Amino acid sequence: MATYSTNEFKGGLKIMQDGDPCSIVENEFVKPGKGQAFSRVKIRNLKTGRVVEKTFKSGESVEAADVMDTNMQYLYTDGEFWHFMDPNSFEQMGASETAVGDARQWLKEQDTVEVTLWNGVPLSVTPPNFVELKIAQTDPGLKGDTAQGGTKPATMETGAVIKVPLFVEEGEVIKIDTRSGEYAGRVKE
Amino acid sequence: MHESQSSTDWRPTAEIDTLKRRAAIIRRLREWFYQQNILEVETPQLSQGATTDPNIESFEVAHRHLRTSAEFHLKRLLAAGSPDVYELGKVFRLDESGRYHNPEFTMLEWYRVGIDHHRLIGEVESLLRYLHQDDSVSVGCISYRDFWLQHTGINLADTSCAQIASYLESNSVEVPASSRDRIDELQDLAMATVLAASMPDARYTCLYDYPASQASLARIDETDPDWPVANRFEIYFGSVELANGFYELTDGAEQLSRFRADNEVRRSNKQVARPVDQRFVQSLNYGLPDCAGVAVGIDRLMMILLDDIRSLHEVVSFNWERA
Repeated sequence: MATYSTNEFKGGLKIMQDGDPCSIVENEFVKPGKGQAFSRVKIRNLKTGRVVEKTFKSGESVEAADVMDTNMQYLYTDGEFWHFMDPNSFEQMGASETAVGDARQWLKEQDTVEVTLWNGVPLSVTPPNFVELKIAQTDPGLKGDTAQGGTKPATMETGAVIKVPLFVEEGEVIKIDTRSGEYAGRVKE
Repeated sequence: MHESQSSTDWRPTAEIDTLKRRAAIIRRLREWFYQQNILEVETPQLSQGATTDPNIESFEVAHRHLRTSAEFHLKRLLAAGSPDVYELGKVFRLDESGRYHNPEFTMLEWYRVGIDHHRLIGEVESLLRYLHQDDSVSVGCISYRDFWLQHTGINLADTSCAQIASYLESNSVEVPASSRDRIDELQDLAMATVLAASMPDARYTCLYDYPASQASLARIDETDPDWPVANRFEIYFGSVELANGFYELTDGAEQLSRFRADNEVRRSNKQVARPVDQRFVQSLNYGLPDCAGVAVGIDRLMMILLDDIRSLHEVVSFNWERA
């Protein structure tokens, strides 16, 4: 069983806590003058996304989590699972609804996304920071509207609904920041 | 404009201007010691003996140990009849790395014959005034026990592990299972988190008379049988520890038994036992005059004296990662 000592702690390190895979968000080394040193760490539970604070005595070891980030191509969903393919090995695997989470609204077939595997099974899916999607439906903008001003809702080809400027039309491809879910610009064909 | 991390990795972690200001402060520091007639000395960095303190790990190099402090050699000089001494030099502590820690750092230590820790605290205050060039700089002193009483309501002379653990948890500090039944570790955790944070901002605070169990190399005062104290002090600036001092233990037999007890603790923690510095013990047996000594973290002092410094790395030429 692989383990990490507290002196290897740093942001991004994957460890097991209470049976769940976690990622270290922040590690602070604290030590009163001559006394016992501790690591105070913020840990994100990779299953629930919840961040908790933990304290470890310096020199203690924790179990490493077999967590790996891989780039995979999104293929399709059968409603129960979202299927991805490793572009190198062509191996396919299905991610559950929990694993895909909010990323599902940005998944377009053929796009490459980051799939985090835990013991070889998809644990979470992270879309690229920016995705380009076609607008499936939006009301026509009113004549005379300029670049500045209001917004209207638009439904993307993936089903995501975002706010777009009034001048953007149905059928256009736009760029979206997946971290905020905001419109980031038109894509010139 | 946007250079990648690796292409700038060769650069110093301090600004060149910071290094110039650091050098000016070091010059002023030496000037103060010259005025006090305290002798500057250099002592070995690689030693056959090592600290046995379970909370400090030494680097081992070719069957020797890099010093974690100059203390043993400086006291040996005093035992040999040297006048008051100071040393400004590098010390090394394994695995201590963070915003206020670098495994290799600069320490100032000085020893004064014939004074106790309270008078030495006054001397540290004069040095700080000299370096700040401000006579209004002062060090607020409070005993370790009163500090706890004031901030936590806990009376250390009559407390339990459970009480301190629940105090920590009520302040959202998670307590590691292996520390739950160790009162010193619980106190250390509280000091390093909640209590350090409650110290007055941007001011010097001195805690003195520590629990006897944290005596290290300080003498123990048993005047109050319910609360024997170690004649030890620490000076903080805001919540950051800057200095640690002792009214020095001069009893060789007592010192040797503390070193052995340390090594017992190390063995039970599955840490390697360290070779006791027998020559240091012999010097105490020969006769160390009554004295008090203090060690000051110079890189942290630079962080205080220089403006706009956020991390210790900004006051050292190259930090651990770039060395």
